[in-house]
Amino acid sequence: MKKFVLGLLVIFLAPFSSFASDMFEYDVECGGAISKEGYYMVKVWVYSANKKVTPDELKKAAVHGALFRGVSASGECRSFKPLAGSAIAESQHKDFFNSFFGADKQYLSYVTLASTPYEYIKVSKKYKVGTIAIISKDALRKDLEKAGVIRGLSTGF
Amino acid sequence: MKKLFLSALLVFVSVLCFSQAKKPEIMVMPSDVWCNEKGYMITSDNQGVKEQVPDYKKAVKTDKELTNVISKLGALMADRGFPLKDLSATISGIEQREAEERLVMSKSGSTIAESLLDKIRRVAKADIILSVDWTVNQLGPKKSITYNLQALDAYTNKQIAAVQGTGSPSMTAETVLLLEEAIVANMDEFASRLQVYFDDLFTNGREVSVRIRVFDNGSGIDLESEFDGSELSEIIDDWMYENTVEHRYSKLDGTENYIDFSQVRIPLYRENGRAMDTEYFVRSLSKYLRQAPYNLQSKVLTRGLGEAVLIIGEK
Repeated sequence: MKKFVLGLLVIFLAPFSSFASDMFEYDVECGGAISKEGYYMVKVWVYSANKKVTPDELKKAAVHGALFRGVSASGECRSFKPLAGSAIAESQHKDFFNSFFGADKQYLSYVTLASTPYEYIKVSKKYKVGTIAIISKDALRKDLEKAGVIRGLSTGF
Repeated sequence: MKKLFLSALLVFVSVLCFSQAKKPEIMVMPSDVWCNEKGYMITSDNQGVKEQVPDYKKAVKTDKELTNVISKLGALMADRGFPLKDLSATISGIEQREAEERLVMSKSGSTIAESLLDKIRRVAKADIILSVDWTVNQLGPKKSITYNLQALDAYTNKQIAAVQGTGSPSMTAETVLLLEEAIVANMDEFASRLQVYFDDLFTNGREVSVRIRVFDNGSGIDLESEFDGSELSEIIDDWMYENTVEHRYSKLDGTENYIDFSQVRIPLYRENGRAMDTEYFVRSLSKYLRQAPYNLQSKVLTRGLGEAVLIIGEK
């Protein structure tokens, strides 16, 4: 009976799980200054019940953060505005982002993880797993402009 | 059938082309403060008054840092779809036209004062001027750059976007590298502020100033002259109301001899889809006044891009 109820629950929730907005819990913050043109360095933290977080999850969180959250200025970092404008853009361009963060994993083209060991911080009953991610922000911006998700500076001219 | 299809396609493409807005032209110039600090100033005779003005020609020909800054900004702006106008080429163009410029005056001998900056703006027809300056801060062995970039609307001289800041100090990096870093680090912020200005342009039109004057030629015509029961100043006011975007303009001051309009929002395009400028806008008013029952001759003079003077009474 228990299995049957769980099965029903899975069937009920399945359609919603495909939305890009159903991101796991994460934080992005300044990852330090980077001199490489067109790139931005963030520190990405993904919350997990155990310490098991995959590189793809960290990359997905880093790109998602760059698109919809941005990073505040701190220390040697300049502020970084969300590339897609705000979280509203995610629902406005639901089809694009479902595909972007979906099975094709298009986001992987715009991020690399630093080869440093992951950091682990225990927060209440969960773990924060963090690392440095380098976002190819110019390439991401240009592709979003091409896809019509954001307006380019020359749009309309 | 094939011909019909091709014709339809041609019409569609033409309509598409004409509906495309004219892309604003952008030019980078060193700020007056920077020119002064670096000693790139020259004494100019402005109608008998000696004044110190920036020597842009010397600056672009001799300052390597400036050349690098212009190139870097040019590359980044081109990457965003805005190739820049070249200041050096513009100055050369002005020199060639200098002799011709001196002859621009009305038949009555009226002239309009125009500074070198106004000339550069008019010849380059840049809609936006990126005014840049920087200071190298030296603290012991460490060097840092304080960088300031302003976008000025060439029509109104108003600041439309700006970024400034001091980069991280470095013991080893050369000034040119620190400058490049400062430019790159500030570009996203700058572009997003510029975007806000472009959005406003599309919605509310371009802001310019229009001045109306009357030639004192003994014809008896002034702005209080009446046509069909309305004074000429009212007729001009009505025309401005009808021809500005969302009827936006502000009448600063006026007497029987002059009217000054500011914050005049002119459309970006003419009815045929071609780009509108201040001169064309005021020329349309001139044409309107030439018609019956007014039958008034007038002369249009421009100053820079954002100001035009209509002198009523003669050509």
